[in-house]
Amino acid sequence: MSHTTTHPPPSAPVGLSSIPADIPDTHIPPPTTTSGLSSVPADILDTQILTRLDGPSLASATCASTLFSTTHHHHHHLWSTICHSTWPSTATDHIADIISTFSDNRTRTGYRSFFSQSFPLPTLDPTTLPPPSPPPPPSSSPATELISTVDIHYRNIPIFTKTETTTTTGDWFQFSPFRIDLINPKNVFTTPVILSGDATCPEVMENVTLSWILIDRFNKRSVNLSSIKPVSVNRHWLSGEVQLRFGSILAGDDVAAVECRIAVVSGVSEHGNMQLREVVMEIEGMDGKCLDGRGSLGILHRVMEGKRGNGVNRVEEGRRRYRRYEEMKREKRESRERKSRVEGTLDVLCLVFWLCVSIGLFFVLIVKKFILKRD
Amino acid sequence: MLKNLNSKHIQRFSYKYLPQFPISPNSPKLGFSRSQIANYRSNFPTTIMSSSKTIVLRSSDGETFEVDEAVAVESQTIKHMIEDGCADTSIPLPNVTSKILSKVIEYCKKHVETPNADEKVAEEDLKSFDADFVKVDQSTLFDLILAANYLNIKSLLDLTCQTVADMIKGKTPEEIRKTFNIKNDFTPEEEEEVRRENAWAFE
Repeated sequence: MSHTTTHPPPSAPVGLSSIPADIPDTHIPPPTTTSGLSSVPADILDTQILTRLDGPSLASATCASTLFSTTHHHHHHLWSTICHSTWPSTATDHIADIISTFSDNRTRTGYRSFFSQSFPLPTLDPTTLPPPSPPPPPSSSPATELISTVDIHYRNIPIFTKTETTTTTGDWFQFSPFRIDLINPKNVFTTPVILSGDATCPEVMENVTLSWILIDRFNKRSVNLSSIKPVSVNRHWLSGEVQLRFGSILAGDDVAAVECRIAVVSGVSEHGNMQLREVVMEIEGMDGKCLDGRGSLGILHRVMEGKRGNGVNRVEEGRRRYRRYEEMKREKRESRERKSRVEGTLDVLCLVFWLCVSIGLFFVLIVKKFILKRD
Repeated sequence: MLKNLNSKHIQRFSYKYLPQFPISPNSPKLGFSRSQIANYRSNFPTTIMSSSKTIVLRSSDGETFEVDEAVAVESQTIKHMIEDGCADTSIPLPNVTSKILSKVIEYCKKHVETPNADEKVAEEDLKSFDADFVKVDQSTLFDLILAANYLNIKSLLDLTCQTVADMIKGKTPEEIRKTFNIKNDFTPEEEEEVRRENAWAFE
């Protein structure tokens, strides 16, 4: 098969006509005999193929070969598109500025770095790791400001996005229970989703996905503390409101694990729209008590500085960890009850013993007295 | 009636093939009765097809293909060549082999023949045609991408690139290398660095 445009090779196979010399010059290289991925021009690969990939696939492709590496500018564009489509709250100017500080201006890998921190699970599994020996003090100081970017989707359509800044220096934050509230109780948020039929049934609520990313702008860290899909759905028997729980399990200071709980309370407005009445984050220990601001900040700081969990099968792994945490909580509660029961029994036994001893002594005294009296 | 003639038909065929009447359906200067228009419209595809031009395309290995102008102008490159008047005898396509060119023509024909995807059935039919169209070996698929890029056929380029993207999705780097038969051309240091940055995606 002849490829050149100027003169045909002398060994052209029989039957093929030679190409005339007046063919317009083309700027695309002639096709090779067996076309592999390397025959596709880099600009088509960048603009048509890589733009259709999601985050994890793009990261895998980047590791596979240098064919998939792109210019810094295009790399930035690809990852920023992926971040903005996954989490619409990152498209606001304020957050976009913060994310671009995550890397230097030359390589512009800010968005990739942000995605790699915010997409996977926040930590390695704390329910299976042994309780930590006092961890080495982290190299940086805890965050002075936490920015929460929250996105709620219903069937992959964004219905609620909000960013909220929480200042963590200040006695009020440090010593009161850690809580970030996004919705003012007086202004409930009415979403455009119309729920028909039994609006609050759990199957419908399974379609809600939530992502809550905490950003520490000064240490250039971010972490996604949500389990994406709800780990539990509870309906209040009286008001008909549904409480959805998202959240993740983190390693605690001196206990094995604590739960970072994100609760969403939703109801139905008079026109049938889904209303979000409460979106709140708290950190709760195994004994059911909410941690205060200072303790929570320490835990979050350690999580942000530490290693992320895996990004594949994030949802199932998150749910599995939550179930394991609930089991651990139940076991702990049962062992506590068992201990108190045992102690109670011991107390009763001691009491009975001493009662018997004292009655026995009393009888002995009485008998002695009678015998002495008779004698 | 007239508003069913959409702008795609008007763009594709030059005005000399259509009777001269204004776009507004309520114009009193129309001069055609409703039954005449209905009759004309029912014959519309065959009337135009039989009187339209055919274009000759020549592949890199010298084989010629005769196609209707309607099919040929699915390619923006060919359309511009026709408009610039370069298409009097035949259009040479030195970057496309006959095998690929015949597939591209088959694709364009199907997309031109299908009425404008208003009905569900036609849309489903086109979708299944597209799905079967890309069930080819990788070498042909990449040649189709190159041809669609050269001939500037947006829908074919979208279809083929989406197929390649679907082949990449959800795979680990080793699987990607195996699928596309590409070598790991990183140096050990580069590989370690890039793996460290991206391990969260597949481990």
